[in-house]
This record gives sequence, C-alpha cells and structure tokens, in this order.
Amino acid sequence: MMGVNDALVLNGVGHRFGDRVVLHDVSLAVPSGSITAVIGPSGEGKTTLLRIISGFETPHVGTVTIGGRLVSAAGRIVVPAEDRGVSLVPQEGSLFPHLSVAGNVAFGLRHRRSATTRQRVAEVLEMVGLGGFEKRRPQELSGGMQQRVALARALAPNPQVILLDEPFAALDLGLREQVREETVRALRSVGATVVWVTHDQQEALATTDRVAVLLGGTINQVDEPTTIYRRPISRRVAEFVGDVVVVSGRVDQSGEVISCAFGDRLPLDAAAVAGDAHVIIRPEQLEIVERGTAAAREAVVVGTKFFGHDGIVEVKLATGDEAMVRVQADHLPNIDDVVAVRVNGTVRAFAD
Amino acid sequence: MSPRSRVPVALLVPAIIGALIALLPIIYLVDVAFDRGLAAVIDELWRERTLRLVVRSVGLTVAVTAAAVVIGTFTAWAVVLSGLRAGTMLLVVFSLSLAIPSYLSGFAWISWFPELSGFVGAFIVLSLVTYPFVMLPVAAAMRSIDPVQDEVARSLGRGPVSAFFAVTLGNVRGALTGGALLVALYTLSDFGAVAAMRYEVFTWVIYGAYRAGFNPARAAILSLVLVALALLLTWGEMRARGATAPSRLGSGLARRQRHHLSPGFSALSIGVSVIVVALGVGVPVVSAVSWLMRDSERGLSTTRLVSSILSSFQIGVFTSLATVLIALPVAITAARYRTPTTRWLERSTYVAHALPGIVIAISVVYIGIRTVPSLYQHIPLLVLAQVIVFLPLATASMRSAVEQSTASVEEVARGLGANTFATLVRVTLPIAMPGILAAAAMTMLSSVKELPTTLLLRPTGVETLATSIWTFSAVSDYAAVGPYAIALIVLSAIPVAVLTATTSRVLRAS
Repeated sequence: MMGVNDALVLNGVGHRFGDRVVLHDVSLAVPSGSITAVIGPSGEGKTTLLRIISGFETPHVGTVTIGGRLVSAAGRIVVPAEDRGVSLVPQEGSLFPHLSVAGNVAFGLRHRRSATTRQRVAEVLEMVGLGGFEKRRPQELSGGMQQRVALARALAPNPQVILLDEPFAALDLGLREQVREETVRALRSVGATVVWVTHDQQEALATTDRVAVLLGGTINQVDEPTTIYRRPISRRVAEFVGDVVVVSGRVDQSGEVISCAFGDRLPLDAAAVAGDAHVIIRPEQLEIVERGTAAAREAVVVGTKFFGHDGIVEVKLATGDEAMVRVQADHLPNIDDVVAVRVNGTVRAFAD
Repeated sequence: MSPRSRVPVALLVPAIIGALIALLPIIYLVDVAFDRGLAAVIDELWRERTLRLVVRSVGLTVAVTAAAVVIGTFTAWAVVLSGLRAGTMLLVVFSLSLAIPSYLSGFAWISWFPELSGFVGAFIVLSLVTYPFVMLPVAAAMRSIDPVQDEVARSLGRGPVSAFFAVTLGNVRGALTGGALLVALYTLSDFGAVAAMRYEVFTWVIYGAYRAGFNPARAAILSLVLVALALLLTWGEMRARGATAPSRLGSGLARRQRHHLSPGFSALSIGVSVIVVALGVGVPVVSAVSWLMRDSERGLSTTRLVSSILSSFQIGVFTSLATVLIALPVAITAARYRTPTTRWLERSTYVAHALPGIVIAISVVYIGIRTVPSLYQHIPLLVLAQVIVFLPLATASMRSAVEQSTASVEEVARGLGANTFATLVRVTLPIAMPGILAAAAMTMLSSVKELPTTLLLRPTGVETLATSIWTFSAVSDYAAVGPYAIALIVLSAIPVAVLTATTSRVLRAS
C-alpha cells in the first residue's frame, strides 16, 4: 500500500507513556498533495501521533518516512525536527509574540531580508486573505486572523508536510467554518500535503480527501470520506463517523440479505457470514411512509428533534427496538403518532 | 507531559559551570570550617552565643518577611488598582526603595532616631527595603490573572474580599512565595542595615570575626549555619510553590481588567502605600538632602566624588554583563527542561544568596590568592565575587522571563527548520528579552549599592560610592556623606526606572 507518491509513510508505529500504550501498530501512507484527516475521540493518541511525525516524540517501535527519507525508527530520531520539512499549525496558533506578521511568516525562509522573501511573504499572506497585514503585531489580530497567519507561516517554506492540530477548535462556530474553508482553499491551491488532526468528524468528512479513523490507539480504517461513511469496516467506525441505528438480525445462508425488525431480507451492501449479526442503518436511510406501504414497519413516535433545515424522529417498533429517522423539518409528526418506517438502499451487518 | 527531557550539552555545560561558580564559597567554607576537625566544629556550634545568634537571626528574618509580604501585597494591589498608566508610575515610586541601599537607610534612620538601634531599627529598615521583592512579581502575576476568574467567584457568591483571597491570592501564590523567599534570604545575608543598627546577627558577627584578627574557622562555621538555614528556606519554597504551573494555554487577546473591590479595601491598600513610600523613600532622601546642607569640616572633594561614581558605574556594568551571561544557561535549563538535575542546578544558585557578601568576599580572596594571586585586588576578582552574590536574583527573574514563551511556540520554530540553537536565539531569547534586560538592570543597580564585597575586594586606592558612604558614616560624619548619598540615590534611580519600565512593558505584552 506504500506508493512512490507518498509524502509521509508510517509503518507499524507504536508508542507508550510508561505502561500506558497510546499507539500500537499505526500504519498510514499519505499521498503527496492530499489532505488526510486523522479523526478519533479525545485522548486516543492523535496529538502523540502528530508529535511523532514532527519529531518531538520518539516512537517505541515502527518507522516514519517523509519524502522517501527515514526520519524516525524504533526508539530513535534519525532526522531532527528542524530538518524534516514538517510545518506545524498548533491549536492556539502559537504566533511568535515578538515578531510582526511578516516576521512570523518569514521565519522558516532562508534569506529573511531579501526581496524574494518579501515577495514570498506577500504571496502567502495574500493566499490566506491577509494581504497587506505584514507590519501588524500578532496581539492586534483576532483569533481567526492569528490562525490564518499561523497557516501562512507554515506554508511559506514549501514544507513536505503540513500538520494541523485541531486548528479551529479555539474559534467560535461561525468563524470556524469560514476560516476552515479559506484554509482548505489555500492548502489546495499550493497542492500541500496535509495531515489534519481533529475530533470533529463532520469537519473531516466535509473537507478532506482521505480520512483515517484512530480508535483504541490504532488506525481502524483509511478511505475517502464517502467510503468511511457508507462502508465503515466495523461497528465502532460506523458509530464514530455518524449517527447510526443498530438492531440485531440474522444473515441468511446466501450471505447477501439480512432479516431484522425493519424488514425481511434487506439487501446487504457486502456479503456477510450467515448467522446472528447487528444491522447498521444510517438515519437518513430510514423513511416515514404512508401506513400500509409494502415492506414498511409500524412504529410509535417517542420523540422529535428540530434542527431548522431538518429533524430527527425517534420511533419505537413493536419489537421494542428504537431508531432515529432523519426527515424534512416540515414533516415532523407528533409524539405518540403511529407511523410506518421503511429502509432504503443497502445496509451493513457486523457479527460483533 | 515532558516533551524534551534531555538537556542539550551546549546548555548543560555552561549551566553546570554557573552552578559551580555559585558553590565556590561553600567549597571554601567546608575546607576552612573542618580544618581543625569535626569536634572543633561541634564545640563552636554548641556555644550559647552561637545559639543566641541563631534565634536573633531567625527572629529578624521571620518578622521582616511577614512585614514585606503584607506591604508587598498591598502595594502590588494598589498598583493594579490604579490601572496601566498610573500603575506604572506607582511601580516606579515603590521600586525607588530598592534603589536605597540598606546601610544608607540604616544610617539615615539612626541619625534621626538613635534609640532605634537594635532589632526595631533593623526590622523597620529591612522591611522597607525588601518589600519590592514581593511587590514586583505579585503585581505582574495579578495583572496576568484572567479577570473572568474573579467574576466567576463573585457570581458564585463570594464577596469582594473573599474573592480576593480565593482567586487573586490563590493565583499569585507562586509569585508570593518566590518573593517571600527572596526577602527571607536577603534579610539573612544583609550586612548594611544590621551593621548600621549594630544588631548582632550572623553577618555582623562574622564581619567582626574577620576584622578582629581574622578568625576564619569561626566565620566559616557560622556561615555554614547560615547556609543550612537557607537550604531550609529553599526547601520550604519548593513545597509551597506546589501546583501553580506557570504555563498558560491559549493566546486570546488580553482583556481589559475591571475591579470590583470594596472602597474600604482600596482605601486601605492606598493608605498603606502612601505610608510605605513616605518612610521607605522619604526618610533616606530627606536625610541625604539635610546632610548636604550641613557644613563639612573636610570640605567636598569633587575629584573623589567623580572617581567614586565612575568606578561604581564601571564595576556595575562588568558585574551585570558577567552575571547575565552566567545565569542565562541556568535560567533556560530550569525553565525548559524540568529534570531533577536542572532543578538542583537552579537551587544551587539560590544557596549563594544566603551567603553574606562578606563571606563570599572572604572566600573569593582565599581562592584567588591560592589560584590566581596576580588578580588579587583587581577588578576580575571583585566582579567574580559580585557575580556570585547576584546570580540567584538574575537566575530567578530570567527564568520567569524564559517561561513567557510556551513550548509550542518553540516546536513551531523547529518545524520551520530552526535547530535547537537557532530556536534559542531567534525565538526563546527575543521573547525573554525584556525580562533579561530587567535582570541586567537589577544586577547593575544592586552592584552599585553593594557594600561588603566592594569593601574587601576593591583594587587598592579605588573608592566607590558605597565605600565612601561607609567610611564617612562609620565616623558619623554625615555632612561628608551627603553628596555621595545623593549621587548614589540618583545613580540607582536610573536603573530602577529602566527596570520598572521594562517590567511594565512585559506586563502590557502578556
């Protein structure tokens, strides 16, 4: 799975703090010019992984290769942090408080007083939408602007890899989306190779090329966002990347259909082992239809949530199974209404 | 999480050298004290006069530290209350008492109130001299407190005074204990005030042992007792500092601070401040001016005045440069690499602070004569002695300056291609620069005022402001002291202005 076009390759990386294992057997190849998200719950080793890539933490086992060059190998740093060409954009920006915006952006450039540097600084500042801000002091900038300067500073030396560590977590919601979009546009326009750590799966699915799901200290799945969402390889991944409805069922001998509370012989999107299994259904696959519609099951509405553009209806089937149904907001039924629910598309089944 | 536990050799070696320089006098003390064997040491220790000496020194230290903590906290609060601009001016006024050396204050008080001679006089003078050691760090810490914390406490039902104790004092605990430690160590090792007040504590008795035919063994044994007391204080401070981690997360914009304090409390802190300034700065300055009015039998020698000023200044500059260079590696390793080694390196520079200047001077004389006799009574040896005296102050203030920058800022620099050394030069040091300049100014100021090492190690024929004041005051020729006292106050006021201006710039930046 390693390709010549991979800017960053982790192979069997493991790490522990004392007796506590935080990462084990982490393997990941990041293609050049791609934006890869590493998602996972807080405290599952995401930041440690970034620190291993950037060279501030030594992996106990495994190797890290950047641009074809071995930079870390089990228990030792082969190439120190400053020679890796790995730029950081930390959560809080961490601008140098004693330098101007231009001084910050030029920090990683070679000849800092040259005309080329001035031009490059202007160029990347323009790229992040802060053209003309060269002389400002970091203290005079808002949080979002500081974060964009931090991005420009990381971009300026054309690094092999840019690491974003929850870069927008400190920003408020409205600002967050705007800065995120500008960031992605800037990163795409220069074809940067990016590893983006976040605990926000929405952010990851919406903006990146590939998503690596870090659960239990190891990478469970690496795929395109749509694949991660539609074809999670385990129930845990499915649950982490979005809302799910889980009911128990039974896969028939063919291995291609499953029977459960939502219907007999629902088609599976991938063949499964015959026998007892859990069915994983996304709430938007469920639909409330006219009572009496074929293949629909009756259920009682036990709760509703209104989100403006859409809503969630919580229903309880005769079997006692509960489910969430995503609906248009203008179709919210009342509590205690009896409705019919139908499954659209294929579903996934896992034995565990 | 300790990201980088291994200290680079390029930093570790100079830091070890700095710590060893600080420990030089101890080597001398142990060597001389145990010259006649352990029994002689124990015999000297168990004498009644030695025990009485311990009680007197500890009593004075406890009393002065308590007074300085109270005065320092009230004045710090007055500074913060007054807002940025007025607060900075207040800071300058308060810090002026740092510019007045303790022997000058002592002679000023004693020339007005001869009956204060003894404990009361020493207590008053030392409290008024030392409280800025508490005020400066506490004011800085108070200004960096997130004002929302106070508001949260108030919204949870705490009254203004209760919130002050819970939130404000809780937040400045580290600064407070650090300042209190400096005050306690200063008091233990002060020579000038107790000499002027003729109060028989360790330093004054040790000086006596040196003068009266130089009894080095007794002086060394008494000094070792002082070191033991200082180690005790240092250990106490380690415990007290507790869990107050100085590192801060986030870098949001500094919010304007608002205060909701009862008028009575504000009035109290302002009242205390006014009295403190009047006594601490007023008494010596008024005395100096009034001495100037008197006619001296000797008449004023302008040449001697000018040459005194020049040599004070020259020694101050050398000492300040050398001290900063030697203290910086210790400060950086202590701030950035928290290992047992670095902690002990830092602590060993503290030890020197409890050594009276007179003992440091004697040990440097001894070591100098043995190793480089050609340098005896030349500037380098005097500077070495003063470096040892001022290392702890410089290390402590530069350490907190280095802590101004977060580790994450340095990691960003590494990611951008700067190696450890380049990161130090381009990121850590520039961010710490205001604090380093403050340390240099503070050292310079202290060196100009410094008496005991100058008294013993100055080159033959060289008089400084300090030694001139000492000589004339010792014979109560206050009319002759006048011009030197005025010159010293003015010369010291310049560094104090630099010091407080940089401090307030740091405050504004943070």
